[in-house]
Amino acid sequence: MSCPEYKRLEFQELIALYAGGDLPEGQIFEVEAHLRGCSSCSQVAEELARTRNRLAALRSTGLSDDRLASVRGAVLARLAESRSAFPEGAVASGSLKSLSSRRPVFALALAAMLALSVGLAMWWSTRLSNEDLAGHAPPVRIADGAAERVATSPQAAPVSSAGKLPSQPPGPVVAPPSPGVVPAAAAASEPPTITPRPTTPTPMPSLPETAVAQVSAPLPTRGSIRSATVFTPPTFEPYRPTAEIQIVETHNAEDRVAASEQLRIQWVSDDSDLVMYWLVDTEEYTDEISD
Amino acid sequence: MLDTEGAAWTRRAQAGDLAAFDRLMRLHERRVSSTALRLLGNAEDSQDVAQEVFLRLFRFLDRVDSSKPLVPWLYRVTVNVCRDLGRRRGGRPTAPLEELAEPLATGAGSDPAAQLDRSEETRWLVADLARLAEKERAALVLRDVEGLTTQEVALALNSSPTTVRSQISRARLKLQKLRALRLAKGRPTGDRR
Repeated sequence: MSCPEYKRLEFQELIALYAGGDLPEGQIFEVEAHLRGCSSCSQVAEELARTRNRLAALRSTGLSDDRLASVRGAVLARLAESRSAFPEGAVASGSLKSLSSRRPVFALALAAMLALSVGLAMWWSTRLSNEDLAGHAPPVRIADGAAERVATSPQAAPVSSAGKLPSQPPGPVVAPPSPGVVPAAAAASEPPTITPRPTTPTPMPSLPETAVAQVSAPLPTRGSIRSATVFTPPTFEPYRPTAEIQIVETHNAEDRVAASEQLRIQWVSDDSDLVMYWLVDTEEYTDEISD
Repeated sequence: MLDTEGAAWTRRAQAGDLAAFDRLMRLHERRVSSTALRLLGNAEDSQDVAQEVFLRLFRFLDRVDSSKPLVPWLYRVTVNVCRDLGRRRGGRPTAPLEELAEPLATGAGSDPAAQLDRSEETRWLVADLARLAEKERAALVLRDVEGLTTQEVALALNSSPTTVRSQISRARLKLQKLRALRLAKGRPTGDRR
């Protein structure tokens, strides 16, 4: 490249932007004035424009209708599968309607305790190495006085929490770590059991942010919590809702209603010695159980 | 990025209509899959990413404002999921451009530029894209492959137009340099692949 002007990186970048139509008008004139008198820079600009055209052509290559249909089918299958997690009897077809009334706080508090325990576990698991996530994760211990159960899951990992889980959202919660111990729900007559998710194929088994665990525990007066699904944050993003927890709860048979709650968690710190989060939002849904 | 058709399907999907969600996927699947494919350079991974993006869309459906375009959100999530997958796969090569530019498959004495047929060009372009820095690649793919404006790219990448412009120009120059280096290497040496 013989042009002395082109030796300046700033000028190279100007030409690259010019070739893609990304320059404001004033600078277009400046570049075009130079190009009129400089054949080598003109050649560069033309080559850049050709590359840009080749890039644009990539959009339509390599994507077959079969591949697209396969993705769609897999997503719909996953959604159908998650709907079938509702109790015996099919769920009414027009599902997921927002509830207008709020249910008692204690159920939410219990749900939050369970879900946040797992949420913390999942969050912690994203900090582990790939090897840990590949199936060598240490067991999760669920402490509840004398009762201590051990469950092993590729997604489950040691959790740091001192049991100060929020009972009255919203509010900040700070839980100093105590590796390997998850507090059990105080309101439940039995401590919850964390079980590995069934070994159905997940869409992205290698991604930590889709780590999912299920929690089940009896709920004496209102039926039982069927499952809690935790979608852990892909990366720490301060002051943004980064975790989604869905809890599916079955009411008693008379109610003939399955309900679910969605909790949104906002991590406030990514310091490994300090687990801090807000419970920022809850949403409740209900589905009528058909005969 | 007006998305009026998408808004209608979004509203129906929000009401629990899975068929409408299927239509919503059909409406956006090409841009999600294309972006993932160009960012990852791997068809299988890009399918996984597209699947994850639509599952996230479903999970967040009740919070989607159907009066606003969904496309920037989709691009942003696609880029994020690709980035996470890329990091788990161990990142990209970090060697200097001179080492990354492999020679062309050309016969001795031939003109390398003339040898570059369209499919060969495409293949190398895809390979070169994979060698760009993550953020530069994302900005370039959204701008030059997907055809978004600089403003839209900035929105999708949660960045500023100035930063995006800088990333785009650097990425274009690197692609140019990789191509030039490959042509230079391929000229006298013949097939070294």
